[in-house]
Amino acid sequence: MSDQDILVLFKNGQRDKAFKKLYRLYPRIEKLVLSKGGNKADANDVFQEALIILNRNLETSNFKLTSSFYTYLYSVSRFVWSDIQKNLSKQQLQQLNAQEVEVFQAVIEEKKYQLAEHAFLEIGKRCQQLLQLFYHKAMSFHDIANVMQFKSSKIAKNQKYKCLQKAKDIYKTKLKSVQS
Amino acid sequence: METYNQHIELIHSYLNNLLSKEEQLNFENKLKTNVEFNTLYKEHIVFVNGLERIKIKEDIFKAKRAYTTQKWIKISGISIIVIGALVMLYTIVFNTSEIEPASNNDSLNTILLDSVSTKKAEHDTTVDYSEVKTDSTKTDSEVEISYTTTTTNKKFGSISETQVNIQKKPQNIKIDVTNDTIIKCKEGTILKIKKGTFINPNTQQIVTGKINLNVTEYYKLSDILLANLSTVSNGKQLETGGMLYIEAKQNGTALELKDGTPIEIQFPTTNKKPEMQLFSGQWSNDNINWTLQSDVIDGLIVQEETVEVPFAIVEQVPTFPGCEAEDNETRKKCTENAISKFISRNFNTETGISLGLSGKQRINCIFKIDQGGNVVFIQTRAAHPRLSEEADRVLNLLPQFNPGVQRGRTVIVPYSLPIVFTIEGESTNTNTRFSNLDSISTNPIAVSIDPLNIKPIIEMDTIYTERRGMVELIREVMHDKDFPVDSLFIMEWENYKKQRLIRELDVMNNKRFVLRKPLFEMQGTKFKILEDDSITRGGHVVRIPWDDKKIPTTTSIIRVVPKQTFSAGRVAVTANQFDELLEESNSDISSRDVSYYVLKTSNLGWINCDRFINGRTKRIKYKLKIKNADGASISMVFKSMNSVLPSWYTNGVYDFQTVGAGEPIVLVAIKRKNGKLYYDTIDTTTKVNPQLDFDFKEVSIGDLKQVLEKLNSSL
Repeated sequence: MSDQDILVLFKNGQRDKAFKKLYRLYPRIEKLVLSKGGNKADANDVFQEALIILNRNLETSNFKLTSSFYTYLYSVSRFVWSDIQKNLSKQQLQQLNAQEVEVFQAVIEEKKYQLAEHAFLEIGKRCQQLLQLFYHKAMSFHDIANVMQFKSSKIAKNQKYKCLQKAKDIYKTKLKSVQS
Repeated sequence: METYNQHIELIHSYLNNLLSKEEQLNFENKLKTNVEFNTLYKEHIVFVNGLERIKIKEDIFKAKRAYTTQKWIKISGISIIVIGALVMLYTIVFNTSEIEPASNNDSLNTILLDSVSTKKAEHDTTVDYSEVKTDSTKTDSEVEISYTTTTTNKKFGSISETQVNIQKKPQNIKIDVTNDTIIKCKEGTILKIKKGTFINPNTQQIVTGKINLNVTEYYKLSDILLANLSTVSNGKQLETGGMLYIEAKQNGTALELKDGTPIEIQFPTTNKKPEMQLFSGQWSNDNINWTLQSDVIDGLIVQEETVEVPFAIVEQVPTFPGCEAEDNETRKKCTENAISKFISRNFNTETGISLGLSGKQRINCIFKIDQGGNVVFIQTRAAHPRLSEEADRVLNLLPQFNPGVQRGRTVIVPYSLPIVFTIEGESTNTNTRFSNLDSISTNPIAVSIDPLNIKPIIEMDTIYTERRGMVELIREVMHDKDFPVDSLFIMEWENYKKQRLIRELDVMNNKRFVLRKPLFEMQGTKFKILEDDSITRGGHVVRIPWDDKKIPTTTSIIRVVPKQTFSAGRVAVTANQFDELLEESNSDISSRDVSYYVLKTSNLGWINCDRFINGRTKRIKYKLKIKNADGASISMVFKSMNSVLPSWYTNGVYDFQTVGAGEPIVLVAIKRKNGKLYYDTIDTTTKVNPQLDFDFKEVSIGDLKQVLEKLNSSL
C-alpha cells in the first residue's frame, strides 16, 4: 500500500482505513519514543497525536504533503515528544527550518485543541453528543431534538447554548491554570 | 446572551460556507474591526477543533484495534506453522534416533547373562550377551529384561514316539511394549519393535505393559536340521539367510501383530545376497512350507536404499577377470567383449540345430553381478526352452567378477544382453553362419553378441494377482467359458449397459441379467436366446449368469515394483553415516563385513529370510529308495548355498521332488527307533535315480549335535 493509496483513502473519507494502514509505521515511531526515554504508553499517545495533526492538516486545503507519511509522522512525533518533555531550548527553536516551524506550530496549535477536548470530555456525554451532532454532523435543531428526544427544537437550541457555555467556562479555567 | 447566540450562529454559518458573498465580506470586516468578535471567533474555532479531536480519536482507536488484531492473527498463524514444523522436526529426529542405537547411550542397558543352553555347555568360556535398548527413562534398577531358558515339548522327527527334547531352546525375553524396543538376540538377530505393535486377538485391543517374547534363531545348519526345518516355498527351493520362531505372550495369551505395524528384523550375514525376502512358515505333514509375506513388500521399498546400479551408469563397472584397467571406459569395453567372447566359446549352437530350428535365433538374457562379483539371478528367454536352458548353462559358467563400485560401496549390477546367432538352411544342414565375423572362435558354429542391444536395466519384481474382470463376467452371462472377449466387445458391452440394453439385477442376492430384445435382433449379434432363459412379455430375456466356478479366471494383474534392497553395516546406520565410515581408512566396516538383511514382518510364528533360487541348472526329479530307512527323516543340504530340502516319505521312497541337477549335496538322515537315535550322512551330487544306502550309526543326543555342528563348519 503506497502513500498515494493512503491519501486516496483520506480523500474518500475512509479515515479509519487510512489510520489502520498508517499504524504499520507505529513500531518505528515507538522505537523513537523509547529511545528518547518514553514508555510504550507515551509512544502510543505521541503517535495518536501525530495522526490527529496529520489528519487535521490534510483537511485544510492549502496543505501539501511534501514527504512520505513516515517522514512527516516522524518529525511530528519528535516535536510532540519534545514538547511533552518541555526540553526544546530557545536556541533549538531558532535553528528550525521553515518546514519544521510549520510542524512545530501545528503541534502548538493542537495543544489548544487538546485543552478544548478535555473541556468537552468534562461536560458530560449528553452535552458532548449534542454539540457533535450540531457542529460535525451539521444537523438542524429540529433533527437534533428528534434524535436526542428533546421536546422541541427550541429546547435543543437552548441546551446547546448551555453546553457550549459550560465547556467554555471549563476551558477558560484550564487555560488559566496552564498559563500560570 | 442574545447577541452572543447570534454571533455564534454567524460564525457557524461562516465556517460552513452558508453565507452569501456580501455577508462573508461583512463578516471578515467585522473580524478585523471588532476585537471582541474576533476573540469569540478564535475561541470558537478552538472549540470546534477540540470537539473534532474526540471524533478523530475514536477513529484512531478503531484503526489501532483493527491493526493489532490483524497483527495477532498473523503472529498466531506464523507461530502455528512454526510449531507444526518443530513438531515434525521433532518426530523426524525422534524416529531417526531410534535407528541409531549410539544416540541413546544413556538408556542403553547391557545385560550379560550366562547361557544355560546345553549346546553351549562345552564352550565353558562362552558368555552369551544380549543387548536390549529401550526408550524408557526408567532407572537401571528396574531391570525389565530377563532371560530364562525354557524347554518346548515339540518332538523331534516325524514318526518317532520317544520323548526326547533336542529342539533348540528359545530365548525368553521380557519387554515392555509401551516403549519402542530394540532387542539383539544371542546369534545376532536384531528385532526392532515399536510401541503398540501387539494386539490381543480376543479383544483386538493394543497390548500394553510387559510381555514375554520367545525367540528361537536358526542360522546354523545343525539347528535347522534338528528342528526338521527345510527351505521350500510351494515346491520352489529357497536359499535361507536365517530362520526365526517368534512367539509373543502376555499372561499366557498368544498375541498377534497389529495390522500396519510390522516388526523390523535384521538377520546378520557375512555374505550378503540379493533378493532376500521374508517368508512365513506353516507346518503341514511334518514339513514346513514357506510363503512369501507379500504385503510388506511395499513398505520395504520405502525403507531401504537402492544399491542396484545398472551397468551403463555404474561408476566402476564390475570387471571380467583380466580386465582390471585403470580407465573405467576401457574396463567396460573389455568386460563387454570378454563376456561376448566367453559366450561365443561356450555356447553350443548344436542345441538349436538339433531342435530343427533355422534362421536368426535370439536369446534375451538378464543377470546380475552381486556385491561378491557372483553371477546371480540369471533369467533367459528364447524361442525354445532348450535354448533358454543352454543360455542358462553358459551364463552359470561365467567366472567370478570383480564387483561394481558406486560411491565407494560395492553394488549389485544388473546386466542384460541378447545372444544372437543364425542357423542357415534346412534343419539337416549343420552349417551356421556367424552374424559377427570378427568372432575369434575356432568353432565353426559361433555366437555373437549384438553390442548395440546391450542396455542394462533395473530389475523389477513382477507380482501377479488373479482377478476376475469383465472377461469373466461376460462369459458368465453368455454361458460360455470359451466365449471370445476382446476389448472391442467389452466396449460394446459397456455401451449396451449405458443404453440400458443390459441391466444387472440383484434379486434376493441372486444375480440376474436383463438382456433387452434389440440385443438379439441386431445384425451379426453374438447374443443368443438360451434354453434356460426366461422371456418377458416384451421379449426381453432375464438370464441367470453362470457360477464363477464354471468360468476359469484368465485375468491376472501385473504389478511391477522395484526389487528390494538392503541396508548394510555392523550396526544399523543411515546411508550417510555408512558412507562416512567407509571413508575412514581404519574403520573395520566394509560392505562385505557382517551386514544385515533388514526386513519387516507382519506375522509372528515361523519367519524365514529367504530368496528364490533362480537361473540354476536343469531340474530333475530326485527320489531315494532306502531299504533300512524305518521312517528316518532325511534332509538334503546344499553345499553351494544355505538351503535345505525336506523329503516326503511314501512306501519306502523318499521324494525330494525337483532339484537342480549336478548340485553337490549332503544327505542327512536321522532315525529314531526304540528310544535310540541313529544317524548318517552321505556326500553326493544330485542326479537322476540315485542308488544310495545309509549306514546308520547309533548316537547320543550330544553326539548328534556335535556331528551336526561339524557339518556347519564343513559347509
